Amino acid sequence: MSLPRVFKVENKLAKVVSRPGGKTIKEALQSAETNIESVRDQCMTALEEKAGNLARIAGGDRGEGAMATLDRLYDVSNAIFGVAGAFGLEALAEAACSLCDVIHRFRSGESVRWSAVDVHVDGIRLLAGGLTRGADEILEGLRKVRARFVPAT
Amino acid sequence: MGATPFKGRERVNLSTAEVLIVCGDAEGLEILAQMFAGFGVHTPRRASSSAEAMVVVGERELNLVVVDSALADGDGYPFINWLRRCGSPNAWSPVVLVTGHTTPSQIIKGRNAGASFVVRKPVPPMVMMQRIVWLLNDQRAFVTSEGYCGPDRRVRSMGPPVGMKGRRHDDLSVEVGEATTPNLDQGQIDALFQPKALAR
Repeated sequence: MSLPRVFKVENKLAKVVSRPGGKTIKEALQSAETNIESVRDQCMTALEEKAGNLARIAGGDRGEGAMATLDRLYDVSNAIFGVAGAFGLEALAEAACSLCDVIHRFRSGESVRWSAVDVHVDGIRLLAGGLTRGADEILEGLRKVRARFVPAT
Repeated sequence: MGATPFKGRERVNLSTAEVLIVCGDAEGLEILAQMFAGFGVHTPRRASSSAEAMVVVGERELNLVVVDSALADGDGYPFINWLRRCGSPNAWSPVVLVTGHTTPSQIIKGRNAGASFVVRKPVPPMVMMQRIVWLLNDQRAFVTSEGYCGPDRRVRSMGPPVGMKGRRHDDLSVEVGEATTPNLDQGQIDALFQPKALAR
């Protein structure tokens, strides 16, 4: 067995960032926020597509391929969570994160309850479609479903 | 944009930085690329899979790598592990791992894969910039061993565990030796705390 080696390395990021010029951090943050805002419309369209994709996947194999179905649902829901969070869509982000939590439990050995998945998928589709009235009720319902599978921390 | 923890005059020059962003979701990749372009990175390099990212690692000398935990061809963790052992200078680049739905085991997995930092989504520009500034001051040594390759996972120097000898040359002994200079008497100690009148 070889011995561990511990050694100093050059900080490759500090090497370039400290050069003269560039932006103030305030300017950099403002530019970043403006740039992200410029892709909002395309991301909103993509969120609706992802929610539709979620429903298609959920309608797939629930037998022998159930784990693969859950894996794909988790990946898409995780992507929805990331994009929704970036644009401050808190209700959609919470619903998507809740679905990830529930699927994580199912993938970790808990018996799969497809009704819990379906209700999340329906909620996510409504929220991704821009629903605002009734969003609180949807979230409240999803929180109760989640609480059945995920222990409170 | 709300209040920032940064002072108004602090600057960053990322214009010549080579930043690789790896993310399996097209929109997630777009958002991160737009963020880094806003920070001043001239051309953020994009990859959606570890296979694409490996090509970029072979072509460019990278200053920063941002990796999402979900890539088009699997998890981001094996890619970080590969990067740390790839044998090129890019192996020592700072790596920020971005996670979506996050369990404690994923944080540990990312840390053990060799990530310099793990950031949970959503990642607003302010949070990413704070991590970049932290990485600029990161003085941690690198460790290579059979089981781990990456920045020293001990962020704080707490000394070796009780009852064990340190393995690193700069680990201090837990035994405190005899003083090598005379002890200060109480008068000298008090004098250090007393305000002195300054000559005008």
